[in-house]
Amino acid sequence: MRRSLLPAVCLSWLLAGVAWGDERVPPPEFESGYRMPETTVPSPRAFALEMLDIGALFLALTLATWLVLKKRSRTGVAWLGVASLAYFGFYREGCVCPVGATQNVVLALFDSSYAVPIGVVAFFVLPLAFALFAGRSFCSGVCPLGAIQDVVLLRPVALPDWLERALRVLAYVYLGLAVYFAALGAAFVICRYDPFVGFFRLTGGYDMLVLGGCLLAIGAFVGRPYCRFLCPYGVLLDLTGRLSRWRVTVTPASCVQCRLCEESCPYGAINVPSPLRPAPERARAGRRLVVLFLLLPVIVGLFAFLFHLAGRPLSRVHPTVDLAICATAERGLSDKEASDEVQAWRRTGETLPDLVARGEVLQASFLRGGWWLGGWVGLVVALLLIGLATLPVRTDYEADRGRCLSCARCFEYCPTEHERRKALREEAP
Amino acid sequence: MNDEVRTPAPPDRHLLGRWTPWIGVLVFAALCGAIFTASSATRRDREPADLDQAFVYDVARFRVIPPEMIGYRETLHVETGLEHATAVAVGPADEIVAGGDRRVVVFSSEGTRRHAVPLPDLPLCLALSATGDLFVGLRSVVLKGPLAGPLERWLTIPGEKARLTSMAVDRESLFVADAGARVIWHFALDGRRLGRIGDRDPERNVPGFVVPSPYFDVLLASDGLLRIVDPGRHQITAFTRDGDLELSWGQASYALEGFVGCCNPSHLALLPDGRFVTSEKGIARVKVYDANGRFVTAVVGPDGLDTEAGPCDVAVDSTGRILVLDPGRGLIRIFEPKPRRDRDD
Amino acid sequence: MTALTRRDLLRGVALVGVGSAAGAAAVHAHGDDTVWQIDPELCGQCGRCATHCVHPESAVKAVHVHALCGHCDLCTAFFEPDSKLDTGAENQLCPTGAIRRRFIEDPYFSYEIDEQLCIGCAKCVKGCAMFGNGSMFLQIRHDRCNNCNACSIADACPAHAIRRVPASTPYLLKSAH
Repeated sequence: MRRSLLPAVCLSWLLAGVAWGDERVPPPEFESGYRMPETTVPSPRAFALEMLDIGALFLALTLATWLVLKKRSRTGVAWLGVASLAYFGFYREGCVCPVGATQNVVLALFDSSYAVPIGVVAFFVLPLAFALFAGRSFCSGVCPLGAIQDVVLLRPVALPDWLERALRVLAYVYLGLAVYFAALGAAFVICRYDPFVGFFRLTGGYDMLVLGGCLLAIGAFVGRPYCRFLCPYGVLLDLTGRLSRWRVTVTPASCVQCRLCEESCPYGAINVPSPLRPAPERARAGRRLVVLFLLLPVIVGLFAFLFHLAGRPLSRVHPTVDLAICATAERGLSDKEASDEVQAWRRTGETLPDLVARGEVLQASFLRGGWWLGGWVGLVVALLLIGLATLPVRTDYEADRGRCLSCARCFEYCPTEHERRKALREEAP
Repeated sequence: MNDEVRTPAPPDRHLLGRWTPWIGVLVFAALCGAIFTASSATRRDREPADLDQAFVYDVARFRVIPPEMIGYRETLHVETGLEHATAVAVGPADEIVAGGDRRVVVFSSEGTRRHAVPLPDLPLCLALSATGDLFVGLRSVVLKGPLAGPLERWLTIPGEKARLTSMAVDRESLFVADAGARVIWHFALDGRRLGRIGDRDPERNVPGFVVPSPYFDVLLASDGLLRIVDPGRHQITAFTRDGDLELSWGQASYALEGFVGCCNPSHLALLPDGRFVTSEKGIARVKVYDANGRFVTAVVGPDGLDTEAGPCDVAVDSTGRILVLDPGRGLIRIFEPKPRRDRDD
Repeated sequence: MTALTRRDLLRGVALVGVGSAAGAAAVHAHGDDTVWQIDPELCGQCGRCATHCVHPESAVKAVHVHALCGHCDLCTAFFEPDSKLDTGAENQLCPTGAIRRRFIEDPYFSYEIDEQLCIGCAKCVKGCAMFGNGSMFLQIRHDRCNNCNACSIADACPAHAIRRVPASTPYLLKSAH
């Protein structure tokens, strides 16, 4: 809505720039027959190749689903991961990916003047659609960000349940922030702070390479830290994965409660059977739950208010708001002393009150959006507390529908699975 | 369901869970801290162009003119009220005439606004005859009329590339500089075309003008010769009315004595005593040369002019005041020689 | 077991949700992809294009529209200010020697950019814009650009001169008239 101002502003900039720049005299007529060379215009990547990317994504998702649910093959998934890392990671250099595509889709929903390429929409939708039917096939062997962490996993350690749950909140907050900034047209933060894309391109900003290196170092012990605790698209896959039609089951038949798979999952996605609790503890948990449910609106409201307040500093991420603040601060400076940004803005001829007015309109929407962002974060925190207070009732070892990354590691730990494979081998000849 | 299979129980998360809210609060506080720190940095501190000095275009050292080299001072400025001011000229009674937007605005010699004459298009150049006729050059059309208006379409310059940049008029003729064709058109005052001056002609030793951009000035000097700027050669040339090249002077240099850049000067004017006033673009500077082309003094330098908005047209009135059009500010700035005592300091 | 479970219902709802979000986004979509490009009228020649591309060799290069060029002898995009007018390396403005000067006929010269050598620092662009016609300017070269979802030069550009354009018209060249 507010972004619809942008084209008009661009136009006025253009017109301002045209005033002197457009005036030229025709080139001389050369008597020697010299012909001026045409300016070369190398084409962008062919549209057909974009379609090929979508085809590759669909194929990889289908293959991953088949390998996990039907073939139950860790080797297959691992090789698929390597292939995806090579294609979507190193060949395509990490762009376009479904994680980043989320922002394009959000921007398109909020800004009617932004035309999202259809290929980007496909990249956003396909993994979610697969997750609704077959769980997180995308994470298993298609996502290059997941694959690069998967290959560095050396010695997984299990995190305490509470820490794992608390860290997962970060991903929800990150998703909230990414949607917030994309919807307000400020920035695509997921892309800007992508920790691994620098490795795919074999170059990048020093800070992001260091961050990526740290994540990979942590990833040697804590399986896939980005996927589990940061990935905003992982949140969407988690939520859709919970509704999946078919699911990853540790055992191909029925669980014999042998506990062999208990330590098999490096991602803490296997839910273990719950112990029997004595009645007083259950009662205490019940009371705690009631209190938390009553507190829920308070927590949501508190966070909403805090993020509403944070809307003002957060609005600095928007280039126009930042420009308005810088231009105001540098009001008294000459062109030579002013920053490049303010100098460039001064050339457009826009007056400071006009710029500040534009900035204030944007800032107001950041403050409004802050309520929603805070509400989302508050809801997630409240649900985390409720989750911690809930006593689970589980009898079997099973992969969590939402958190399971479909890596297929646990299958090989299951004696029933070994029985199945033996039977298959005997059938074959 | 067998209890023995279910034990030992997984770690009790509620025990550790007591700390979870506090850790959450800590993480949230850290997040807020990071946001506030990041947002308090100004744009200047962030992401400068990290280029070696060899990759930076720097002409700052040529923009400095020592004060003792500037022999003029600004004594008056006139607000034209034009957003896109393009030309300045002086009338027979020293009226100040400015062109721009879609009008010509006339001021008294003291800067009092008299009237405006509307135009069909952006004026590109102005000329005033001794009898008070106003000539206004549009892209390829010359309008003519009394200074009080109205103006009417008087003649059209032939050729599709016509792009008028300057005009000079006397009792008999109008000379029109056309940067598109790179020639000076010669018209009689009844509108007949008498000829074109400056076409490349090795036999007459005329090399042809080099006009890379729409700045190509012409004037009539008191010696009866035309003075035409050849900006691509950084020269002022003198032609007879018949198109013979008599002499030329000027040379390319970033030093104050020369003409800067690829193609300068952009504008030329004549002082009553026969000296010339030149105006340069790029590094905007207005200077005075004597009749033989020797540098005399600077009038105003880049620090005094808004160079972003383009070159500055110049004109001179009968008392020797130099009028500089400052298009960035929409001003006509009037310069007079500094008192002698000032110059000695 | 064939009865509709709560999960089936929710899945249906989620499918409709994802589908309608994608549909709503796709309403504004065009089949064509978009690519990044520099608007030369907004570019302030700050030099960040040379340093902020994700590629070690920037995808931004100077281009030359010859129809706008004055073909000057004393080209301020070619010669170091106030240098001697011979083509010795010390007199050339371009630090990498990426501009080739050729004599055409008196008094005109042509200037061509060797893209292999150009690093996109915009030094020549500045020289050309300050005194000349602005016939040299920066463009993102699509044979080199990775078309990142968020262009890191666009993020750093102080003039906000980089924007997405349809892939079918991937350049913003200055035109002669």
